[in-house]
Amino acid sequence: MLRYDNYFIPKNLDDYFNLTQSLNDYRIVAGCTDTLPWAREGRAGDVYIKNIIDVSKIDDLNIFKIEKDKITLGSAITFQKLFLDKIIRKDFKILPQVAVWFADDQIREQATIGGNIVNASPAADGTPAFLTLNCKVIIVGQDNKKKYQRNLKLENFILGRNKVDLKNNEILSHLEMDNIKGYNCSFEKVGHRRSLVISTVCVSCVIKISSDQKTFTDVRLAVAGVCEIPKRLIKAENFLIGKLINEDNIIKASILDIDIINSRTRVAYRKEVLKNFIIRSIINSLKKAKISLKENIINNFYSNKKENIHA
Amino acid sequence: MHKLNIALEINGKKIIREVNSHYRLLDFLREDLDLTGTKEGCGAGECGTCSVFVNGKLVKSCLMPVAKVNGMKIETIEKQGSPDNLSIIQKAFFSQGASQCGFCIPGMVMAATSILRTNPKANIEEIKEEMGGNICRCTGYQKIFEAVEIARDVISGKLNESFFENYEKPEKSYLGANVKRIDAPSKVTGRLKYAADMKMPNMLHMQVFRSSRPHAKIENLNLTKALAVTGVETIVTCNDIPGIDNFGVFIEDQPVLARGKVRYVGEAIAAVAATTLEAAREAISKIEISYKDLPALFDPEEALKDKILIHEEYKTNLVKHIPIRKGNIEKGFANSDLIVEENFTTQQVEHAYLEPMAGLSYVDPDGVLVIISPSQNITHHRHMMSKIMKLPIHKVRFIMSPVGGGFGGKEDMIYQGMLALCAMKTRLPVRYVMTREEDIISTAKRHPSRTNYKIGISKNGKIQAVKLKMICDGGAYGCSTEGVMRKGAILGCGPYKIDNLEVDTIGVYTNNTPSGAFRSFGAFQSEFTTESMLDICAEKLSIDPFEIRRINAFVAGDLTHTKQKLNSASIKTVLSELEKLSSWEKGPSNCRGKNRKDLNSNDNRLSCELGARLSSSSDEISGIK
Repeated sequence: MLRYDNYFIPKNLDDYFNLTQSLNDYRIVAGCTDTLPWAREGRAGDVYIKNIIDVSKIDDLNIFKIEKDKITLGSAITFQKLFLDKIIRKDFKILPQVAVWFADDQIREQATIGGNIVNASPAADGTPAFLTLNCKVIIVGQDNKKKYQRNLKLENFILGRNKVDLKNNEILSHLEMDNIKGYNCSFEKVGHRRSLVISTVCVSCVIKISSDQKTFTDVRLAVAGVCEIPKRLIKAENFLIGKLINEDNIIKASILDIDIINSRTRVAYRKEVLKNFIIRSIINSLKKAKISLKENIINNFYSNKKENIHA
Repeated sequence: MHKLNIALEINGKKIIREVNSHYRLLDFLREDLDLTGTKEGCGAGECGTCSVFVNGKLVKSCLMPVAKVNGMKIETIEKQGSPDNLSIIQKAFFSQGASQCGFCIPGMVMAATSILRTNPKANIEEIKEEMGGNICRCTGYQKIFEAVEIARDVISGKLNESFFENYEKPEKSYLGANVKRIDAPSKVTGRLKYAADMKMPNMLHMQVFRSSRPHAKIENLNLTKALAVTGVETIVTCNDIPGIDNFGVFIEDQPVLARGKVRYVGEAIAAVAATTLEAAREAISKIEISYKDLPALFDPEEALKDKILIHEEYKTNLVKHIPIRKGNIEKGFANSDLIVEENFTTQQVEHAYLEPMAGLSYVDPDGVLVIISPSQNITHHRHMMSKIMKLPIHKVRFIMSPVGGGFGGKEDMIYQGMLALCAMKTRLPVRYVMTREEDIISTAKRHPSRTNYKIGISKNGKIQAVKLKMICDGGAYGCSTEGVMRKGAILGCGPYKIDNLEVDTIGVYTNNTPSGAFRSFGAFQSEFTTESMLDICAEKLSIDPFEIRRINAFVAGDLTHTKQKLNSASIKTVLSELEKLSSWEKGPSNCRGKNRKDLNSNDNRLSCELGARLSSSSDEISGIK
């Protein structure tokens, strides 16, 4: 049970910084979808915090701007916004794809993209998708009543499990991501069930192909759930960029980043899934560009492993 | 407790209230406004029993601090219709029998309402996807999905509302007939009161102090600081039991509250009753205890060696051994063409009924102890309670509240004794509602099993002999272990004619969470091994798996494993129906082509996908802007 005396909902950054500077015992929340389950038996147990500061209504954290080369999203934007916004659905297809796999419709109404990043879970669903959009985080801080701003690449902002580069006098204000008009993409996820599940593995794939549809012009892949922080799959990306689009290259690329896997459990399973997800996410992305490789590419990959008698 | 003033609109009415500042919207609805149609199944956003509309958007009220909804419009299940004036969606749930235990149903109706408001043409995949945040443990979802589709068609005018009156009045048998589910209106409207929904004047809240050790002597239990917490009315321990403490379904080996030692993590040691839930929880955190750890047993085979005893008075850790002998297995194995031996294990399983354990107890004006709880076995509980409380049987009354799913999990008496003690001691009504976590840690589970199985079979697929030995982890107390072992033994070899068999099922005490009743009561664990062995033999003998079962299936006149003569046997009918419905591709499982032809037919499903609402045709969904 989470108990607190005061629940503050500042409307702008000035009010927010005034609160954080005048209060000692506080915790920051946005959607609350992680904080409330955290204060229960088996995790933090009963928790008493004198003050809760809810940042979800701060105007700057709700900025939503789409420009020619980038999209700017306030950290308090909800995942359901990513799912339902018409322009995002058209031009930033990876975002609704990750949103549909994120928790469920009801939690997406509350859960914020900033919350997902700042929690820095190794299995954060949003982070790999943001990574493949070359996401930049914009941090606002206040020193001696003077505001300052700090920009970081998302991969540099996340320092480790549940650890980000954010000081006490700072707040994650918004994110800037590449416009990926003309790209095709796919998000793959597996967990113990379909909705409301923590990823065992999830992969985000964003691809641009040449105008003759023969080569990969840009390939961006990122994974979560397999190591301490979500990561881009640099080796596979570098291998594929400029290469011909064919089964052979995709299969070769699928095993290049296998060493990234450093999970506490089910390492062998995750290795298998990561390979398959890289292949599948590329095939599914290519399908959207009307390029179909053989449907059974994954089966062929395993054709040397004949099924024997089960017993 | 700190308070907060809020003004908001609930189901069309404006209200201004002072609430506990730390309340979730769910607490405010249930505790302050008595809108108990909104349920708490998990408290962690996983189950969807608490779904409500906030400013028109469906959210989980257990994840919503009440301060967040200040000034907003809330809509709950109570707004959707009443038993005599159901909404179309509720009528559809009613007509399809989509409410079983009913605990998830208010949330399901809310989710369905949300879908059809924003996406009135939703197809079945879109419906499934959007209902992904709501769990049902009874229906298997089929009836719920059908109900939403029917509601959609009635709302759009494609289907006439008279469809809802399409019930049959069977003259002979109700089996297979579409009859009215008369308890449905109370469930689809959220009006039915489960134990946690009940309240009485001056009611106290009970919380339980539990063991953090698997096996330990309690050296000292100090309640002084806990008793000093404002609002605490009483704290009960084993010393407060007036009668005979031990209880149990088959063996009376379990104390209401740990006596002298604890035998599993989560065992109840003391119970606090206080004027508020918060005070009761605070008191629990102030109970001081010191243990002397004892060597603990977690492995049933290790426990069978009896080097450490969990219940010293029994001189053994064996709870029950059920042996069955029929024919001559040596002869049977000698006549076999193929002998296969395998080991199988099954794990501990939680029932996960959507309604966590809850109960309310009070002493009525005539001095009768009343216990209201979703107990699946009230008569037996009543008899046990009369002994524990040293009351004549006519002074103990059990009322069975609606069971929000049980699956056997509410068959063993678990918390009713503590409730009764608190009610008798304070003479005030006392309510206890477990959290999901507490329920999982402390209540009985399905028996984990280990089975050694040897089967002898002829080339033609006829079983010649079976030797089955299953060891089950009964956990710290007997609970239903004896019955589970019996059923596991009697039914273990399946509906097959086997002339020579030797079956042993053995239930053992360990320091794990007690195992108890769970759907199929032991037969699941043992029959699973028989069916697996038949599949293995079918592959080895190149026989179709359906065929190998037909070859061995019971027919009328056969003797069962315990030598009961069967007057009828339906296994062959079941097999042919199953074969038809699954579009089974004939042949042994390992001798098919590379791609199975019976996959992806109408009757079986592809692996799960999401994204039904991502296609451009979904742009009509009103939420998309």
